Amino acid sequence: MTQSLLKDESPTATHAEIYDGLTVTHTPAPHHVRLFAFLLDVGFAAIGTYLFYIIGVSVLTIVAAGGAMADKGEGEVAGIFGSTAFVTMVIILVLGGLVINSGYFIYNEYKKGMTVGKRLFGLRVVSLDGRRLTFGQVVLRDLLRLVDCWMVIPGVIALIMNKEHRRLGDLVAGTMVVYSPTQEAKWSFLYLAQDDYLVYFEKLAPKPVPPEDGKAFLRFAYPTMISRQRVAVSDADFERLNAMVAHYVPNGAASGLSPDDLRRFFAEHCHQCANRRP
Amino acid sequence: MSMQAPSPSAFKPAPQGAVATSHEPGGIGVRLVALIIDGVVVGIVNYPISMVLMSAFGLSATIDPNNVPANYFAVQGLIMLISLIVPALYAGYFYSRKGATLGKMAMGLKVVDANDGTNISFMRGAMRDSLGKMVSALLFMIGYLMAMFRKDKRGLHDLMVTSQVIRSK
Repeated sequence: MTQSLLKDESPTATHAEIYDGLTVTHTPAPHHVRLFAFLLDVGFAAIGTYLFYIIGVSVLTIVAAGGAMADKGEGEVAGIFGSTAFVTMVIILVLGGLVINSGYFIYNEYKKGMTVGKRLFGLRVVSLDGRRLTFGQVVLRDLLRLVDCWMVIPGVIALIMNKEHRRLGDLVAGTMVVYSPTQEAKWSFLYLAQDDYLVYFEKLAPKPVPPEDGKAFLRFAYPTMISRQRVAVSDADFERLNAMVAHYVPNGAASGLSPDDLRRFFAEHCHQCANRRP
Repeated sequence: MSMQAPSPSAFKPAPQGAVATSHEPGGIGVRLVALIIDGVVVGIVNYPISMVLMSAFGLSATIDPNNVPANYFAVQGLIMLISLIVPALYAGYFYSRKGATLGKMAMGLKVVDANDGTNISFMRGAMRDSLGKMVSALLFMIGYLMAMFRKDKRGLHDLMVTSQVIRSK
């Protein structure tokens, strides 16, 4: 179970590619993970769009009112909605929304190879030729997002049809989205950073902790280590908790780790075991 | 194992070289932004469903013009039910599997059990965001506002399912 965190590839689906004699193994992104990341990104970009609209609509009202007066002065169109100023502003608002949305994806994918959603879900856009993503590729990907995501059906067909889970935009731009379970799990750590946990895990080789035991330990560890509450731990409890650590981490005593560090590691281990669902 | 003198103070966090994890309670402002993002996401899921249902109603109205009011209320009821159930399922799934909904993830927040820091279960997650938030919204959002005045920043919906919002990094 926790072992899977150490290997950064899923056993089911891998895709090997060769670039200048170098073999790279890519795990294609699972569909649901990609969907989650996309929804997160759309929601995140929507915050920017909202702000733009709130400002835009107030400007629109003022400009349109002015425009309507100007039109009326020429004796042509009466009312706000017919005025050319209003129509122009609406076009600006719609285009602005699209630009913010696309700009968010293009900027992040070009700069970092991933958007916020992709980063949180352990995804990354890579170019199939092994080079850095070019600006053209990123823009092409994003333009075809309009087809893939808003018309849905062509995108879904493309995703299902190939093994690397590439949508139309990926096929045209020569890119694919790769997935790393380790990167995704990075945000699930509370007591220790992931890197430290994995180093300790390899060194100490702890036994898996059943959720009941784990939660019993965490009821002391969480308030003291994370939420910083004062919790009275009786001597008997303390003995029991230390015995628990010694039982599940038999190598702990010989490792030279301080008891505090050991307890902290064990707390993270309990946390990981309790959160992993069958 | 070299055991220290058993005292409660020995259980406090040790300063360690590589590790600096602080998980303060999540502030109200960030959580509001997270709520807006979640609203957009749930809206994206809800909207097509409502659209399909309304089209079905339109179709039924042309086929069977006699039953229009009955069909209308049936469809409206169904849409209301779905707009209650979808956010609950969404919250339940993400709180229990990932520890945070997409909006909370984007803002670097996490919802954990207030006692042991593990992810809350599906049922508790679903309750927190449906029934819990409904109750919190009663009486001028008092359930949300009380989070501002508590040190651990827990709202009424947090207290109802013993959860707590913390920063995830």
